[in-house]
Amino acid sequence: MVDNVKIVDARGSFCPGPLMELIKGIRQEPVGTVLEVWSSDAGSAKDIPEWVKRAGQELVSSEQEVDVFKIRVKKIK
Amino acid sequence: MANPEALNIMVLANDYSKVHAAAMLTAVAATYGTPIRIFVSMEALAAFHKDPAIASAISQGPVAHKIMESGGHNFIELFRQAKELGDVTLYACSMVMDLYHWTLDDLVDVFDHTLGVAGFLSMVEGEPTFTM
Repeated sequence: MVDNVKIVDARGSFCPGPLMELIKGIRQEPVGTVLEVWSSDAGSAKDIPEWVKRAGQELVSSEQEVDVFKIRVKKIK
Repeated sequence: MANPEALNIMVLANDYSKVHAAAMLTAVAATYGTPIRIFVSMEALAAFHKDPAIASAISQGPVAHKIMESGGHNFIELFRQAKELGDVTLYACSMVMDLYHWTLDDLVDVFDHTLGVAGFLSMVEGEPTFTM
């Protein structure tokens, strides 16, 4: 269970908007922070995990709640 | 010395969607630490003019209209973000600048230098280079 999750609400934004919002959040937060991106854009739900893998961060989870995709990413470096 | 990890893009087409695609690729690749050089020339350069009457003359297809309707980041904002995030340099083609008597002050503030095609080719020799 993660107690402190930073929400990045990017609903309504299209690719690469949610990813760019996540990147901005990761740059601002310290190592160890978990960020949860909320996206209504299905393309971003596929694209963000690809960026996480390439950027060497950690994908914690990815799930869909009705029409919102929630992707949790832990900043590990 | 050639850097095989570098990304070089020549943006030439009179096509809003291609300029936007170059900006999206640049914004994301910049976050990987990839050095990126963008050379903007031919009809594409006018899209960066400060005068909306000149900039809006670039061809806009159905996808371009959808992008604009979505209210998301436009390509200028994406290039600005890319420059904040990584090692990104934009060059405005000196030939087009000369043809229209433009200076960098006439263009939006994403460009670092003006450059000729020979200069760009020397810079990117041996490195991956794409044209849009």
